[in-house]
Amino acid sequence: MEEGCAWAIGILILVGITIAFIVYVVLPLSVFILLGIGIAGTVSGAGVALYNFYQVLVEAHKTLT
Amino acid sequence: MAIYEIQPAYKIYAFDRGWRIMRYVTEHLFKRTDVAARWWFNKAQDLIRSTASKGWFIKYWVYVIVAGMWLAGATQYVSAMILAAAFLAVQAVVLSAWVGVSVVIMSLLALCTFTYGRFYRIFFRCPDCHKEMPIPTYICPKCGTEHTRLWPSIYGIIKHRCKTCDMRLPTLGPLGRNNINRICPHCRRPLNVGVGAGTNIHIPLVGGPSTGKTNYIVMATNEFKQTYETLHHYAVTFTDENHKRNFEANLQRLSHGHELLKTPDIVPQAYNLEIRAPGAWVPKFAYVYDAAGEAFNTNANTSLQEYYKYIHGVIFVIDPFAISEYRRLHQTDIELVRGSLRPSALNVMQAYERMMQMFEASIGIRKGGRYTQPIAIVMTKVDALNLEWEIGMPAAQALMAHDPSIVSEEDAISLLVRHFLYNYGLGNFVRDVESQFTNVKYFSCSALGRLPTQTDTRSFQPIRVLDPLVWLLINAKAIKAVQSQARLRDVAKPMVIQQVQRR
Repeated sequence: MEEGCAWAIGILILVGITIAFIVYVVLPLSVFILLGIGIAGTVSGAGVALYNFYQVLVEAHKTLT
Repeated sequence: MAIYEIQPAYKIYAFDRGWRIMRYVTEHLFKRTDVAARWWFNKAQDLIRSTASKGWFIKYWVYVIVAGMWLAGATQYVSAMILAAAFLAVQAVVLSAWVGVSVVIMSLLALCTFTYGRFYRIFFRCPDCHKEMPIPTYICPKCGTEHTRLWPSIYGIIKHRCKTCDMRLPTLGPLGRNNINRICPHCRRPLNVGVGAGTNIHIPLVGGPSTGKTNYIVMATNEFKQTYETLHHYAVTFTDENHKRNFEANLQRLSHGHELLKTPDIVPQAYNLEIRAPGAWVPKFAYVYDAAGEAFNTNANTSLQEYYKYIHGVIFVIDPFAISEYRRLHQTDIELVRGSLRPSALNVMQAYERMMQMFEASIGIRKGGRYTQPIAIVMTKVDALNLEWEIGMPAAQALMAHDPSIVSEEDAISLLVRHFLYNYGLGNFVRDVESQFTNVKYFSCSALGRLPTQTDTRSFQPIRVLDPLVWLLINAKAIKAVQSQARLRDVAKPMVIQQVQRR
């Protein structure tokens, strides 16, 4: 009886640690990576878009008379 | 009249280029954004492909990275969309405001120009083909391109930029448009600088061949120019160099005792004279039409005189030796000097009737009413056969002495000439002209002052040539009456008396 309880407690601790690992490490890290890349992409994208816009505008004024 | 015509000039940014740029930017910005976004999507695709055989843990983290890349790619479109939307909104507002302001300024300028033109009776009329135009065709000084509507428009409010050479051409007279060469859009002949710059006054000379119209108008213009410039400080100038040259050549001939050559043009080129009163804001711009007498020989020739629709007054020239009754009574005397007199072959009534046909065709028939244009009936060649003693100054002075109710010599001469016409069988002419026109006055004059002969090279001295022209210009409001009357008292009288005494 006591041996069975010890196993159960052990399994529960492992499951808890796993869930805690996923919740407190894997998921935040995933979101961090996803958003990090996303935000980096967004910022660079905005910069690129702005640069593209400037170039297109200049090109338009040169091309269209 | 087409107000708008396509011009060889660039349109204002807000009317053309600005809107095209909006379309160009949206089209090309998304093309470029697509390229940038696809870079992220392709990288994500490559990453997935390269880790296809890896374990689930690796794959998980790869998918996290791929999701980030997809997010980065998608946000490229969002950034571009925000930028494009902001640009379109700002550009549309700016362009719309620009268009609005431009249209308001253009309308105001058009309204002011139109009102100014109508108020001062300023029109663009070609002195060669006699057609009216909304605006002349301007020639670009740099490349010679023709600009048919060089006025404030969608091509520019104060300047048009020539598409051929990029030169900026002013659209308003005060800004320098008057300095650009221009041509008549109908006959393509050059227009002198005075056309469209002053109040139009159109005066035709009417009369049969050899009535002395050209001699008369040259002498009258010369006397008018000298008298009004010297005594009344007017500026009387020829705005066309060719007109000036011809006028001076004619004066030169007359000063050497040679008659002027016969006018060849059935449809005459008007010669232009700018008359600027001292302190006047807008000058008067006279068109004087000296058609060959043959213009009144046939109905077909008379109908070519298109300028009748504009006229402000008429100088109707009568050769007394063309009056049948007078010629019959003085046949012997006339025959003695026929070569010098060169009596006109055209009957006075015929010339008058043809002129009236043109009046009716051009201005319309006045039912019950009369034409308001003043008409000066000018009896020329009064130096011959003692006509001066019949309808000239001595006769006028005698009439004034006899009838004190006649206050001026001009009025006395008018009465004498009128009676002369009655006496020599032109009563119908007098009655008709007085029933058709509200303002009729009779004059007698001699453009040459003596009979021209081959051997006599003395300068011709005209007699009373100024009076009809001055009277007409006063009635056409081209000059001021007070000054004219002063002139008649101060200048003409002693001059004429002196000339009569000399004879």
